[in-house]
Amino acid sequence: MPVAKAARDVAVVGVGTTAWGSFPEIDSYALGADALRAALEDAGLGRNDIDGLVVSRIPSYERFAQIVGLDLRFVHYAPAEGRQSGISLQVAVAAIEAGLAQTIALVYGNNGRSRRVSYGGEEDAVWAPWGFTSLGAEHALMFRSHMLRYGTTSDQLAEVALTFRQHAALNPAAVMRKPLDRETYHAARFIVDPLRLYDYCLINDGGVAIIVTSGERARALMKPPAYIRGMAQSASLASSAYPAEDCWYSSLQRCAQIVYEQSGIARSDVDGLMIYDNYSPVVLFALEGMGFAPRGESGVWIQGGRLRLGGEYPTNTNGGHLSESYMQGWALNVEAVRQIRCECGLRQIQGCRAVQYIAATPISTTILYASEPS
Amino acid sequence: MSEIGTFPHPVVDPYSTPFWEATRARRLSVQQCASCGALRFPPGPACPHCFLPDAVWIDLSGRGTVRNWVIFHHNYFRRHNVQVPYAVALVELDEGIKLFTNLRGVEPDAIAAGLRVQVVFEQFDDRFTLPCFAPCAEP
Ligand SMILES: [Zn+2]
Repeated sequence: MPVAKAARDVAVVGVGTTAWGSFPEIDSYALGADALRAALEDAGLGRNDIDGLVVSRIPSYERFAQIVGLDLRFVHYAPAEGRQSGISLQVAVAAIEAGLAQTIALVYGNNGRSRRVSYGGEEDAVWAPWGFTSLGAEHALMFRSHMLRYGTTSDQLAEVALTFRQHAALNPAAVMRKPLDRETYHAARFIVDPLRLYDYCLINDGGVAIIVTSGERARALMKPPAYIRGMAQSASLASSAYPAEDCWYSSLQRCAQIVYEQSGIARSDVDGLMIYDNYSPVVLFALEGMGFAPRGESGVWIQGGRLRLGGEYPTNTNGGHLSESYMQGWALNVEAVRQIRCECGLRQIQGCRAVQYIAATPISTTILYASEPS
Repeated sequence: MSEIGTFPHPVVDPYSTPFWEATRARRLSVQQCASCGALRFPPGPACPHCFLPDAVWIDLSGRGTVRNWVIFHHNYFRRHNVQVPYAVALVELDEGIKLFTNLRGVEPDAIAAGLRVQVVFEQFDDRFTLPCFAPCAEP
């Protein structure tokens, strides 16, 4: 098992987000540029300080670099997949550690709502002739296997959507702040049975930018650094022609083996979780794979407010993809940084010193942020 | 249940041509690695087990077990007049290959894991015959 070198000294020093919503009059370039402007201001940096650029989802990194006028010595592009947010942050950290760049801006722009993007319905996919389509259906299938194998119920799953909606109500920026009760959750229409409407993420427009630099530079800047103390990635692509039979358990376990040892932060010292939630069951898979909940018991484990503010592991305090904004992991990483800096107002985790981002996908990633350096 | 033919038609690539030729002859056929004997599906240019390229096509028994299923209440295929709800099952053939498929002769709310099924071939259009599955009595 290759365990990456310890004592990372890289930090997030600036974060920027646009408003979330429907903005048909602009495109993802404008959303990305607005987010970058906000992140630079947040960090107290100018464009001259940026020598690396990572672009995701915005159609052309080249056009984006023209628009924002950066002088770059490191550029990386990632397509419009949620798994790419964690991967991109890892690439940025590695590039800084390797001396390829000093300060990297990561920029994401998503106008999927205005463009009426549908996540499913690709006519040339292998299983389309039988009507099997959409990532949501894959998650519905994985949740069914969790139900069959462990007896997990839809009523247990409801806790994920209800928790994140409660958190979103405390977040002025969230798209969906209206209270959601258990009855409404169960009465909602099925999209792909066993998943219903509130198990699905939002689709909205928005932009996110994150600025990463060395710990040494970070300590000279205005805001308290959010140190990236540990990170890991594990792919299960060889079997990804079908939904993951183990709900990505083994691949997440590999990430868990690395990230806590590398960071020197124990699982029990994690104050909050940011879990990629395109569909609610994936939160269960992430909690089991990362070792928070015993395998097969996440449905029971999350009851009683464990994921709620004031609970043991407050999760997706911004409301997540289900209720805040569908920024494909990017805004969850921003929320992790804002929690570390104690900037979260009513939804602030008290005494927050360590926050872990987890994405359970065919390429699983995790990033552990902390207020203190290694 | 949806009418067959309302979903998008299969897209044939160089590797899947023999699969669709076989279904027209009412046979369920997959690649078998000529080196290590492993079966593979969807069709591809190399064996994921031993990475060698050569394969032969062999016929499967057509018998299998429903492992999992979902019921679509939303039509994602905007250009197609698909009736919802419809079910898609994941069937594991006795030889170990898994297929997403549609079940015949069983209502969506009667689908269960462990249900034994047998392939049935349905005319999709002039070019394609689609393997679907129906419950069978045999263990
Ligand atoms: Zn082989």
